[in-house]
Amino acid sequence: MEAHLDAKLATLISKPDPEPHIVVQTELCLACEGRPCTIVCPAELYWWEGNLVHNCEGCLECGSCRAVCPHGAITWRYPRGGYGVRYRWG
Amino acid sequence: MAEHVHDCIVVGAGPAGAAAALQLARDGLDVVVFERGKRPGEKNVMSGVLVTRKLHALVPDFRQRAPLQRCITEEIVCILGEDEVLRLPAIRNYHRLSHPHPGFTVFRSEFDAWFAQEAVDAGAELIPATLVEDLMWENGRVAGVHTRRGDLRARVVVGADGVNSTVAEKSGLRSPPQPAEVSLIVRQVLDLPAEQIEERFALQPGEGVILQFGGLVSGAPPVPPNFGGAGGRPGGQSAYYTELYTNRDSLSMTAEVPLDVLQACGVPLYDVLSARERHPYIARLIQGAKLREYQAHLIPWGGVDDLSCLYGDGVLLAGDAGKFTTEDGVGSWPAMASGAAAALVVKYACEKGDFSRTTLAVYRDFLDEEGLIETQREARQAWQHEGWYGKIRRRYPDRLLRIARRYSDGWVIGEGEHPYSLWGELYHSLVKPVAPWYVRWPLGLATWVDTLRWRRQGRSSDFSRFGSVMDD
Repeated sequence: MEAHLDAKLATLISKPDPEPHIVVQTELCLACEGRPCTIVCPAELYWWEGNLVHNCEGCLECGSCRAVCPHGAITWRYPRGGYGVRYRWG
Repeated sequence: MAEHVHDCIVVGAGPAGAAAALQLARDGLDVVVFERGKRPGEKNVMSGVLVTRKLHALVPDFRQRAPLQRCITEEIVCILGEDEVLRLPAIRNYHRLSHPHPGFTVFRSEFDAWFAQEAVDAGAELIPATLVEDLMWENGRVAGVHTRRGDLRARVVVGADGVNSTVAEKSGLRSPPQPAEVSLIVRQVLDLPAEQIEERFALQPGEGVILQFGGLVSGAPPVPPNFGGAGGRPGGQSAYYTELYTNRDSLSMTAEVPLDVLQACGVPLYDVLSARERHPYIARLIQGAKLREYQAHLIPWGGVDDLSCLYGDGVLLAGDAGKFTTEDGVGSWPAMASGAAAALVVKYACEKGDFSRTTLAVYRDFLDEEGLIETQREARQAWQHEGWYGKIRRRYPDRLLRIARRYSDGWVIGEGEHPYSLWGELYHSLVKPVAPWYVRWPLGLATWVDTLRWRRQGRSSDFSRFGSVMDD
């Protein structure tokens, strides 16, 4: 039964917004110690490869990353109307 | 678009927005609802039970018409140990099946779409697939909304756009959510045939149960028991709160944790969910179920500090946007009730022809009538200082487990364990940490006497008459 995150994310239908809805000022992340966004994101869209890398596709639109970012580096808005994730069984 | 001024714009077609639009349309006002999803509900996640008291007041025959899953007859609270589970006493209420407004499990993608359609049928206008990006201002008051598809003017804007509310932020009423005041919840819907669900949980078609799990998460690092920004925040492993509930032919399983705890512990929430799935008790309940969908959402809790942040010049906040949740984090009925209250405020303001902050302050009175001021205060208090029940449920699961373990094993003392009698164990674990001095002193004395007597008797079991699994 237990599925990996990739299998969980594969159950979702999403239409990415061509205008990225998450913008990160990565120079601010260099000074960040905890990098909480890499922990809290339920879709694992943030990871560290010498600097902060993120992916806008597959976002679940919860807003956790913006709430935890200690330096205000993450500019997050909702994808435009009709774009983004679509829960069929919310 | 033409410079037509609508009576009201509602941002968001969730329970709060749809309730507001339904009430306004029934009162004959000209109301427009914006929804960013293509269909209402497709951006929303139900994390618990739909409490239908307010829905019943708005749509009395909802049980016949709304897309409901199962009627909740029992809420079971469980505490998990490494390979054991303690189920706290709970009542299964069959009279809820014939009650006019019991709790139901629902899929928000179905329910919100139906509820918004009720508002449309009553005369509201729904504009889906449109994100409200900013507010339009005029003479220092909100006068409408900006969207990519054009601007729209209204006399009042009701912000019912959820926890990450654009209206709340752009109107300056509230700042974006802080980690300590929101919980992240991940949820998975698991396919399981209806007959199997009914067999596993001893149900009839249409009946459902909800199980709430606290306690140990195998694999997650220990959380300091009193961790948390504010005074009475849940700490320990029970900060990770899991629920399992029954839909018609699926189970929903959630894991929830305050964001600041999650951040401090450093274990991703989907790993916590997987650890819970592996627990022997849960594994048996969900055995053979197939993953249907995975979801995530933030839920606000702790209420607002000051009710005056719920209204401004030409703008009102309802639902999660105004942090309307109970102390247990239930947001469905407060959302509908606050939406309906906001609608009454808009009607009052339209009759008066004044949409200033001073007039809209009547929102307080309408909220009070719905019992929501009390709810907000309770939620705030629970966030700042947890009550005794919360303490026992969230903070002392290991102690409860120890008592239960000794009770079911015939009260045998293991090597190196504190030699307390049953009452001693109950007192030291549950009463002493939460009771005031005038309860603690007499009970402490009685416990001391009881334990002395019990030790002199050679520590025979208080429950030896029940026999013991350790007997042989």
